[in-house]
Amino acid sequence: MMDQQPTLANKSPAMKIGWGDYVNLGLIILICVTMLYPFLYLLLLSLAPIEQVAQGGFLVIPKYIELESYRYVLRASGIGKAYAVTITVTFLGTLLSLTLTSLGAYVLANRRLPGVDVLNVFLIITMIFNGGMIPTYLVVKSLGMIDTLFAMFIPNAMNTFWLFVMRNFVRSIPDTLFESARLDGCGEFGIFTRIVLPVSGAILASLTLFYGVGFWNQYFIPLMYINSTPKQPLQVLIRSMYQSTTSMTGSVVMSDTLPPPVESIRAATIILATAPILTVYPFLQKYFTKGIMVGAIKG
Amino acid sequence: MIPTAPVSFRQKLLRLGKYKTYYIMFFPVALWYIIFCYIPMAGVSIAFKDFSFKAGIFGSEWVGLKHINRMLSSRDFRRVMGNTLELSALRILIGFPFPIIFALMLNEVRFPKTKKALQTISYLPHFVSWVVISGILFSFFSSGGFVNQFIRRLGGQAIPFMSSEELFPWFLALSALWKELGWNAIIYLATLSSIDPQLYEAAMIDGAGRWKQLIHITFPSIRSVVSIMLILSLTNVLSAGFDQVLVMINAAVQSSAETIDYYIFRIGVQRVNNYSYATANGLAKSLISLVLVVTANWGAKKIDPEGGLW
Repeated sequence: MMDQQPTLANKSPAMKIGWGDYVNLGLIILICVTMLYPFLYLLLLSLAPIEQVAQGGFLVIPKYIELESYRYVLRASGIGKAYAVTITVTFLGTLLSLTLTSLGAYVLANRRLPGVDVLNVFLIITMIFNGGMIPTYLVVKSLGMIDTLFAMFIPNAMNTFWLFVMRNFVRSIPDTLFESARLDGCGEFGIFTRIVLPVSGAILASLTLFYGVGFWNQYFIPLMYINSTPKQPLQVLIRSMYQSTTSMTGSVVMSDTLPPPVESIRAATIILATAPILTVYPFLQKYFTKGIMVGAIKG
Repeated sequence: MIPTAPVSFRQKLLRLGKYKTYYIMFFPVALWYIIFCYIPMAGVSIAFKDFSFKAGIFGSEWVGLKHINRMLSSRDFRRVMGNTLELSALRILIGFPFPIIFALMLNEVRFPKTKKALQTISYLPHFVSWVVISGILFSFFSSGGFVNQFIRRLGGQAIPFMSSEELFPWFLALSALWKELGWNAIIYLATLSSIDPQLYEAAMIDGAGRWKQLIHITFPSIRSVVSIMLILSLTNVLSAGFDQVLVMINAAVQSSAETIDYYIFRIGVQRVNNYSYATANGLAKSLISLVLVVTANWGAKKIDPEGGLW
């Protein structure tokens, strides 16, 4: 009765939608509601006026929009700097990660390259065995990277799994494309920049998202490598905000009026810190499902 | 094309020369792997030395099994290793099968637009950091959180989700499942959508119902991906979601929830110069996970000679 292809399912008259389908759909919707609800709750809470926040409840529907908590968060010292650190690290890190990953993927995709098996093994070993936290820390320390922005994106620039996903993607590019470029006198590096990168749009978009989100959300790396407050990224700031019982770690700016309730401040900070990612990923979704499909299945 | 006739040394060199650009392009990648993967691997040797900054990783004095022996007789090591194995097992038991089930469920949804929308929502928590998620979980599940307010209003007793030693590992594993459910389902969904629809058509003509199609077509088609994903997830299972533990651990559950990574971090980085002993603990962790992965790969090959990661 049931078919897996939506296109077919729509066309075929034999596909009847039974009660089982509705139970299934209902369950999935229920699961998705638990995922959406906390963020919706926080968004509404951050926009609600103070007296409503004080009342509390499972879902606060603002009577009117009040941006005081956002104004407060943005004015309190620390968040602007933390934002700048996070954006810098995410930007430079993603750039470095993409460069290294695509170079590695292109080279390893060439099955005729002498020694390519050795290079593959060289990378696979790092997936199943690693030096661990302390030796890595000591290497980063001996490079003089402790308490610099570099420590937040250079030691963790590569993800070997994604490199292999991209390698498989490059392998799926038809050979004729490479041959004709070679006949036109294109060098290997030229093929990489003029053929491989342009046709790898889907996978590059996915990797940008994965690496970008990784750098944006990382907490342990800055916790371990960064000591001074001005270099702390957003996640560390949010964490310390939750740990301290007072509202913000940064100094309070407004002295003439009462600060907004802790709940609204936290909600506003969380929304500010997650909004960039949550608004971007739905648009990149079609690329990453496609990218993973081609890269992971054909490998 | 590669010639089949014997080649002279000169020809070999010429052939390598043809690939010169490739090696140059790979150089920065190799350099990164050497510095941040292979040197730390060699750095594991400090587990058998007394590390000092003056002498460095390679110059420090060898002390044999001093740190290993100390670790093996340490009660802390047995405690954190026990915690880690327990939490890891729970995370695999809960976190591994449900994304497969979720993918199968989503795959059965017959309204393409609804399916797409639900899929997008299911990725949402994956893109949010553990720092933020733990904050949200705290406001819902702490003793004064919504859930317990609700239970109290109904006349029940508050449940210490986050501060009871028995409940905490379950709380960690279930919240990790919730966060990664949709994301971990992607790979299975991709596999499911690559199954040839003709197989299902043929089965339908033969009179196979929905369950029969699931058992005879769908399951065999995703089997190899399932085994690869299981092995891959074992490669860092003993990290037991370190970022999560790091932000959710609290004083009430510290002794039963502390994982090996947390312990290494606590004794190695936060305390002054305890690097060698902490590395010995890290080495134990690496060896146990290596055994897990190799065993799983061997098992996968036993079941299906084509299966396994290598």
